Amino acid sequence: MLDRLEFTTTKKDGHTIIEIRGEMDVYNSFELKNLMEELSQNGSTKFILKMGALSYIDSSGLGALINQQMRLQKSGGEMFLVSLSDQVRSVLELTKMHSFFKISGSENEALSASSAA
Amino acid sequence: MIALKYGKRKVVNYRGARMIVGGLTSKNKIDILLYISKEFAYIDNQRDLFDRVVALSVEIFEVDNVTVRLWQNGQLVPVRFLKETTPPRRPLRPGEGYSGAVFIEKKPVNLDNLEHYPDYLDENESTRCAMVVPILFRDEALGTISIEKDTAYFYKKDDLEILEAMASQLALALNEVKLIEGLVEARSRIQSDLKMGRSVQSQIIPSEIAPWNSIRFGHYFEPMVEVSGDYFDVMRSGNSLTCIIADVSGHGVPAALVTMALHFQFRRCVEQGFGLTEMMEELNESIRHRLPDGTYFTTQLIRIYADHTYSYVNAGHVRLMHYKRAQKEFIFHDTKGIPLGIAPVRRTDYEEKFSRLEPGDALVMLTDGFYEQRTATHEETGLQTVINWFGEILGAANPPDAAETTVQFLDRFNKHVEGWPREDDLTLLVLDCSVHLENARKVYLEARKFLREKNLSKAEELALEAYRLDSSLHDNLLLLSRVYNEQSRPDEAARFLSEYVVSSGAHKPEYYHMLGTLYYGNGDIRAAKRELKKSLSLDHTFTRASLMLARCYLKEGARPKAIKTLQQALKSSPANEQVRQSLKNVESMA
Repeated sequence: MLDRLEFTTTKKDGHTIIEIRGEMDVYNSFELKNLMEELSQNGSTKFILKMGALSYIDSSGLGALINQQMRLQKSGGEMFLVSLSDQVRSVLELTKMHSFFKISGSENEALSASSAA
Repeated sequence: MIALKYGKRKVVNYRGARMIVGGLTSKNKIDILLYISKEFAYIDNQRDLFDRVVALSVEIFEVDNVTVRLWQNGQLVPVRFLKETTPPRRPLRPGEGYSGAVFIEKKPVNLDNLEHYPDYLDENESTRCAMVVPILFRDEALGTISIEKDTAYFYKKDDLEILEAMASQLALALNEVKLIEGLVEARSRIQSDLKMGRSVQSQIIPSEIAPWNSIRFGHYFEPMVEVSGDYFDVMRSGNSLTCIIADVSGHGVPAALVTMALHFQFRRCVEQGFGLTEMMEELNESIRHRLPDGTYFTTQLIRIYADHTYSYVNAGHVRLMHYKRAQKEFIFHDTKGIPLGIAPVRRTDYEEKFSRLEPGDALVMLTDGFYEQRTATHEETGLQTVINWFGEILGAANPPDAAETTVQFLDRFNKHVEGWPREDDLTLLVLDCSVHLENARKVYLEARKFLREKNLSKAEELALEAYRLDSSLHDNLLLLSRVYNEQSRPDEAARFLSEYVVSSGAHKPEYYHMLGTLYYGNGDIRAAKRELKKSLSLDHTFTRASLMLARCYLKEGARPKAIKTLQQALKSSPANEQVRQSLKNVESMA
């Protein structure tokens, strides 16, 4: 199991896809914030966060996601969370934040939902 | 000690010239430099470092004295020396003395005969030869080392080179040590600040929670670091009790500061009589704008009423667990609504639901730190495990009260997660409804019947029995106070009324007036004044309390204070004839 957070960034159909692996907690959640803000400065507005390999998220990690969702909402961008691991899904459900985010089953679903909107 | 093969130095005259016989040779230099470097390597404080410089100087240079000076506050301050001189050393200005000169020039000197430099010699100075080197770090002079000998012409070029090398090593070591000391000091300051933070936070977290109308409490609060992002509180308001548990995202100082704001806003909302959904909206709006990016807090509120019904509202917090003693099972309460601090919310975004506590039932409120805590095998404890533990504890044949439930739960939790560090703040609040409630209430109702029939002794006997069964049953506390009042036993009447006020949190002017009157009747004027002042602080127009307070002052012979009290009462209630007449009477007293 990874203790650190790793990202792989790709582009598809005008979307920036970030695959997140590892554990996102109080010690490293700022890394996602830094990465997404840097990508936004370079022109990215639509993000798909693939979270199948994110095995753990704590309240700070959730805070980082909320922060990015709010930021993108204000600037006219959007963010999808896709392929949630059981732990991440459980945290979102417990905190009732699943209704706050756009959640899709897969990358393709998110792409379709984004273009349909 | 360095093992070098060289003879003791000796200064001799040879054909009219002075020569040094023995001492260091260039062959010894490398060994000595390595030795110095090794000696400095493991030192982590300035004091040990300077001691080592002095010891090495004695060992290598056969000194009569050695002085290390550091540049501090515009002076070269002697920080270590082998022995005190006559006159004693003093801080030097730049350029003053040979150390001051070397400091300015940043160049080493070997003063082989100080008699040639009278400006450098104090009266009665015994030093005749000195080597002085600057302690340089990246061209900045940090201080000087001076090696002093009472014999002129004692040192030669090789000695000066070695001393220079030692000063360079010292500069590096000193820089490192200063960094270490800086870190140690910063750490100590941070720890001290955190301790202070903990102390401040401990003042907003209840340490003891007395029972409230047959509801008993167990609680636990453990910050992951010194301060916590978790918060809980219990507030009594007479006929209701409001509890909050909250978990601010993140940990440490930023999260703890949010809990401080939460505490004051929660208390304000309860005092102002907000409903639970209104309170969610108010907490969100009063705190949200000041939160750092990405910070939010989950919150659960419950309000228990005198008849043991209760309402609850949840904002993204883990579900409220209600253990039903009769069915030996948990039911879980949840309501809609996202955590607070994220976005604007309205009271209608949340819902208030109702339920009821039966005798023996328990409510469990906790933060996610418990079920997200991992074990030594890196597995999350899990909410179901936590629920199972509570089920086992509360389902025992003789179930423990809330405090003992908390102890037993923590015991299981700590054993389960042993060997893995804490990953979050932990907060637990357990409430249970006394199993004796039903019996206590039955006996109380009997006692009330006897009081109505004016059978005071029987009423007293039964009310005391109900009190033994459950000492926090509010109706019974009031009944006991009334029984003793009617028996003209103000001391006991005051005791039970006071217990009622503390337990219920019913801070009403009428109760404090009643307490004041009872203490007055018992001759305890000081206690009477205290309670009457509380009454007036809650309602300064409450004239009965003013009149009683004036009587207390008169009893003490403090007529001016009695007059002042009545004058103030008249200002608050100018139409009150009784106060006007009382003031007239007191003013006309001889």
